[in-house]
Amino acid sequence: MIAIGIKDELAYKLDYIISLFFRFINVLFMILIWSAVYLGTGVTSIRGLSLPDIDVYFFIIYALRGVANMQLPDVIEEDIQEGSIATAYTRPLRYPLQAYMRGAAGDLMAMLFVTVPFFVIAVLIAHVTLTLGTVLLLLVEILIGYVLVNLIGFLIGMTAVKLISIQGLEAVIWSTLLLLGGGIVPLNMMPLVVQQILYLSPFAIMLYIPATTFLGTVSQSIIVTNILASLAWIALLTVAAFIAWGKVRRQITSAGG
Amino acid sequence: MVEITLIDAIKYYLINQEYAWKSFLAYRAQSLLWLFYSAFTGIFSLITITVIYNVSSGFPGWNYYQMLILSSTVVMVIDAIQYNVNGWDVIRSMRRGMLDMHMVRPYGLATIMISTQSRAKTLISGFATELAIFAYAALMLHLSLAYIITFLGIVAIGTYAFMMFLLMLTVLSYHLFKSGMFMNGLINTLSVVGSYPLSVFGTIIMLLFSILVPIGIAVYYPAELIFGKINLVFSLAIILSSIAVAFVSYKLFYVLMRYYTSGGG
Repeated sequence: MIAIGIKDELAYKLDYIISLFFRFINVLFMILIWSAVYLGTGVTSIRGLSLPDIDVYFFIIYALRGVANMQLPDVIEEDIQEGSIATAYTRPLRYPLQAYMRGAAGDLMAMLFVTVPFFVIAVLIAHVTLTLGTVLLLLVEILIGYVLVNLIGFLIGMTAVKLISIQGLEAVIWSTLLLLGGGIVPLNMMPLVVQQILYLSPFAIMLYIPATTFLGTVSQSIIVTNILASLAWIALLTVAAFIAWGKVRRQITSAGG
Repeated sequence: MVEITLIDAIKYYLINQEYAWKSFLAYRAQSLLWLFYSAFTGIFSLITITVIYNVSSGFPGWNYYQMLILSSTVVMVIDAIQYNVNGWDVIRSMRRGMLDMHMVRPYGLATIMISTQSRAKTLISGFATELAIFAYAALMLHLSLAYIITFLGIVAIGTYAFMMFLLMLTVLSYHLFKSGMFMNGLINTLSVVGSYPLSVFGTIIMLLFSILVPIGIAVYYPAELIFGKINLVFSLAIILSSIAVAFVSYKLFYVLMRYYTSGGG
């Protein structure tokens, strides 16, 4: 199922290249914007982040956006709109797993063509030597973020049973994730109260925490707090996903064929 | 031969808008979510600029409220253009042959595309959010009504030129890529770039976004004029540039449409 998904994704090679090009351009513009802020203010560091840190930060954020993308709701929405959920039900694999597998193909492609190149650039410009401990911590954080994104994605996907078209809802959630996860501005530049709330949210671990772990600019207490909060969110969202699936699977009707 | 007047073209545009709005509102929950999304993303640049000015002294030569005027105007301009010319929708329509049935109607091709090919009605809430931010910043800067009207007048001319440019570029993208991805990427990038003073990006990028991609003449230079950063002669040059861009884009659009072949049916 993942192999079929990868073939589907590769059918649009030019779109991938164009998308990658604009992502790269957008990082460069973010760097130029923040460079103007740093040079205009005449400081070497803002809230513990130097200008080179900011450059690396945005490359890492764009790398992580390849992990924290939402394919799962698209898959579920498409199945419900096209009625292919009826045929999916006949396969000997539970539907949520099937949907995840097909979404995972897109995730893999995004990781390969977005996360890897941006991460390599970040490593090259950061001049950092990552210790084994940091690499493991990063992997744990990224994995937790990935699980959270997919759990949220599954819950959004479930709403397609009622709403049929969920692109708007997806867009709202994705924008929220970007904003509250530190994809627009680093969270440590937000007011202190907002920061403390966001460290307990499920969003910080998707972008901000791994990015600042890589840079070494976040305290261990914040990392621990956020990982524990994220694990609690995973438990909560898993229960919610089970309950939601149990309720909606009996209401699914095939809308086409 | 049917003679089409400007009034006919406007009526045609309005009828199509009514139809597009009815289609959009057919899925009420979905349309409400999109309207919310558009309004919500409208505050992204406000948050970014607010955070930047809270932790630093911001962009040299631009105070907080001036930046809000610049960023809100850019988003309003892009939303207004996308409301009428959405590259993604236009190219999809061309690929599927859906544009063809409209082309048999006795209106100009540009009128047909502007009237029928954008489903981005949701952007009206984004526009409203930015208008509120603009009004707030203008109030804080004590801008006189005459200043605001002059500014918006020049922006309107630039917006028309920019819209014609994007319409032409959309057709060119169809010829080159057969995909709306390029136009989507470009619009997203322009929303970011245009929200900040072009001078922060260096001379080459500043020239690029002034001449090659005319977002500068639509928003940045009019904003510089209203804040007294450029003189009146320069602003007249901006208006003339806008007219030139609109004219060249319009002509190029028709040249490119001569080679249009439908992608399906």
